[in-house]
Amino acid sequence: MKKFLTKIAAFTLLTTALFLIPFFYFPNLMYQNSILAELPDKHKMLAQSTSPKIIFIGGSNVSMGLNSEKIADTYHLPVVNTSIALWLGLKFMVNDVKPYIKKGDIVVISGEYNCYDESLNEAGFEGYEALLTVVFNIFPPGKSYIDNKQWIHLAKFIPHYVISAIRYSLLNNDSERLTVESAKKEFNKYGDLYTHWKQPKIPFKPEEKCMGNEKLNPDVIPLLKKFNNYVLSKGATLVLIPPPLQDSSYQNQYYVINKIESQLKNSGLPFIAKTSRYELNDKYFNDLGYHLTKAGVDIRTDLVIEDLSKVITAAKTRK
Amino acid sequence: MSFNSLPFIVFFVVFFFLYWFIFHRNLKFQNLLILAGSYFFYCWWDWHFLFLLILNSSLNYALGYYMAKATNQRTKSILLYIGVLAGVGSLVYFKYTNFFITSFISAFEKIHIIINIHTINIALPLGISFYTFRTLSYLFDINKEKFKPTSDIVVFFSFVAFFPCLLAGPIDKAQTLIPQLLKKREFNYEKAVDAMRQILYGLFKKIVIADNLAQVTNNIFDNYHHLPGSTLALGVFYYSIEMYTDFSGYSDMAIGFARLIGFDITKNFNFPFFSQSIAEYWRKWHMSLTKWLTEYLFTPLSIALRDYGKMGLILAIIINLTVIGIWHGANWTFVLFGLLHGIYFIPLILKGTMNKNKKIDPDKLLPSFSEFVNMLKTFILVNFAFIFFRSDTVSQAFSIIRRICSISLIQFPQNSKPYFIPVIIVFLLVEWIQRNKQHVLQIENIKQGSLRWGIYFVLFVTILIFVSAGDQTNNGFIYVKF
Repeated sequence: MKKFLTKIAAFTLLTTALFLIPFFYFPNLMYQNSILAELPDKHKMLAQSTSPKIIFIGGSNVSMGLNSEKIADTYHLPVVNTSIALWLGLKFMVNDVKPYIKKGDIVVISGEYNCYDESLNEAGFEGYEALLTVVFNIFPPGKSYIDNKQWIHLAKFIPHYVISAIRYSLLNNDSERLTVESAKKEFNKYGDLYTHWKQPKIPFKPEEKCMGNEKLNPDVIPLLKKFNNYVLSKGATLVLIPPPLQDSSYQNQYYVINKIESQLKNSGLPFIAKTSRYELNDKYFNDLGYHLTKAGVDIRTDLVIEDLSKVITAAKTRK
Repeated sequence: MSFNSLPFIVFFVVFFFLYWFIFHRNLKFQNLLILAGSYFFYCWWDWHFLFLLILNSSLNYALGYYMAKATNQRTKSILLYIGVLAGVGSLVYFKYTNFFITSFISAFEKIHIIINIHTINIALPLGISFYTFRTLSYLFDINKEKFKPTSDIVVFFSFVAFFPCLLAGPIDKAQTLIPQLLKKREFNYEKAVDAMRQILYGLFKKIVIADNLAQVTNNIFDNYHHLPGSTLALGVFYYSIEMYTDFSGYSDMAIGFARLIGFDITKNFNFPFFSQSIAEYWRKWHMSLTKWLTEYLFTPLSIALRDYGKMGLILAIIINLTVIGIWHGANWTFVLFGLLHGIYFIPLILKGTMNKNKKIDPDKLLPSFSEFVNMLKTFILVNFAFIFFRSDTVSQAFSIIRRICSISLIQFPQNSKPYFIPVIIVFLLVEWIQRNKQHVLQIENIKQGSLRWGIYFVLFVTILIFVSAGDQTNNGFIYVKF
């Protein structure tokens, strides 16, 4: 037995070392091609905006699907769209904005349905490989709000992270190595990702299912409740609104989506709109069931403006 | 908690230490741990049907106990019938009720009679097909006095729920597992190392080959309307390899985990794609199920039908293979899959070559031309039947066949990731070279330890990279659904 365990331990240690040494040695330059590079600028936007302000949190459905300027003009409030992509996971997105929430702020979460998922390895909630890239290369302070469970979850992405880190570090092909600046140019001053608005649509298949086993991740409601308490303690307001979803994707998943909606509402969280309200015609989507075209962005923005009107009036009255 | 998941690894490591370091002095405690671990494993998947597993175990334990005590055959037979009725009844209820209802409705619809019956919302209890067959074989063997039932309730319940084989087999008979549960187990270094190799290879097959092929085959079968015959033919080929690597990968892991805790369980695959006839293929594919049905269905049937000569044998084979087909699920596609395999046997029966085993010389590096042609013919037949197995409906299967048989077969395949072809060829070559071993990673003939370790290391690192790069979907094992 001793010999067996020694060999297993040696094998495990050797493999771990193989991945961990390059993990800490090679920076992952892959992010330079990516919209992830925008994160530090989003922090600057949050820090520089005066309160009361409107903060949007979510995945690419928000970063690519909102006209923040129109919202800012309607309510005469600063708007910061902090969203980048679902890859960061709901947990990180929420913790990432906490330090910037001030009295009178309106915090709006519009997570893709995958954020609430228990299966699919919980990645929409805990984060994907991109989160490793972010906290090790782009925004190291982010490590401080990753908990143990999240580290265990993220550890499984290390092997692939290492491979891509080595690949990008050794690659000398300039065309593959876009600059951080080019990635950043895709966002406007509110944090909206807008370059795709002028690009042609890319054919895609509707989403089949947002949740593998149709179960809400049991950590979602406690996290959001805790976050809601935090927001309230700061004198701010939290609301949850559904993401826009392509009609045919919605139809494929309506049973699960309705279940999520009722569970979030029943938990007492301020989920302020019906999911079906954000079910939009297929023609308004660009390359994914959540990614809106410019026409879609306009419709979605109007819906958000309508939904926020009561919340903003209430917040102003409180003030 | 799939074998290829982190929770299972944690579960198994804890189980392994408790098993060998805490409970190793007392066999009863070790068996209790197996039972508790198996129920925990089952509940992790779905606790709702644990009661059914316990009920099934309780009933069969009692039936086995009283069958052994029965002094006359009539009582024994009555108890056996109760067991068969309960086992097959629960299988039929959970697996086939809706199939019967929908088939009944559509049969009447064909003659323009609308029947107002609705399907029932029934969830399929995990592993029911596997543990029911295990308990049935227990009763059959007691009835034939091939096996004396155990009075140790923990041993019996552990036999039914033994976690390495609980969800997708191999379907071990009581004669294989119960004597091992009654005997003190000793840790064996050589066996444990070999088990680790087998688990490693199983994981490699599942994660690196099956899961990657699944993405392509799912895409091909989902979009079959728009794809040319060449792509569909390639998709069918990929699916055959995916099925094999998925299921044999699972079986390798099940056997490996069982060996790590001192059990030798039934081998489930013996390089079936190198079979020279369909009969040989079925002796090498899902061997535990085939053996089970041969013993308890085919043999009694062929005896009952022996007066009809070859026709009787053909009928017995067709019934046997159709049962194998429908065992997989409640769909006409599975019925046709089994039926087709049954039909494949007809020429062998007529020629009298069904039981002939054309063995290829184990020392030969390459097969002869005729051996190769036989293997290829068998492989094509198997591939063809897999069209029915993989299709959601019979009409989809026929539509795919029509497209494959059309002129579009000579078009260049689309969206089919052709780089898989050399990977599959290398995989099959390695399997061919190692075909006389219990599993491919039995490489103790490589004398240099560093080279052996290098191979393990490369496989393990490849697995980790693929796990890490996965599309984040839970890639369950195909056979767990059955």
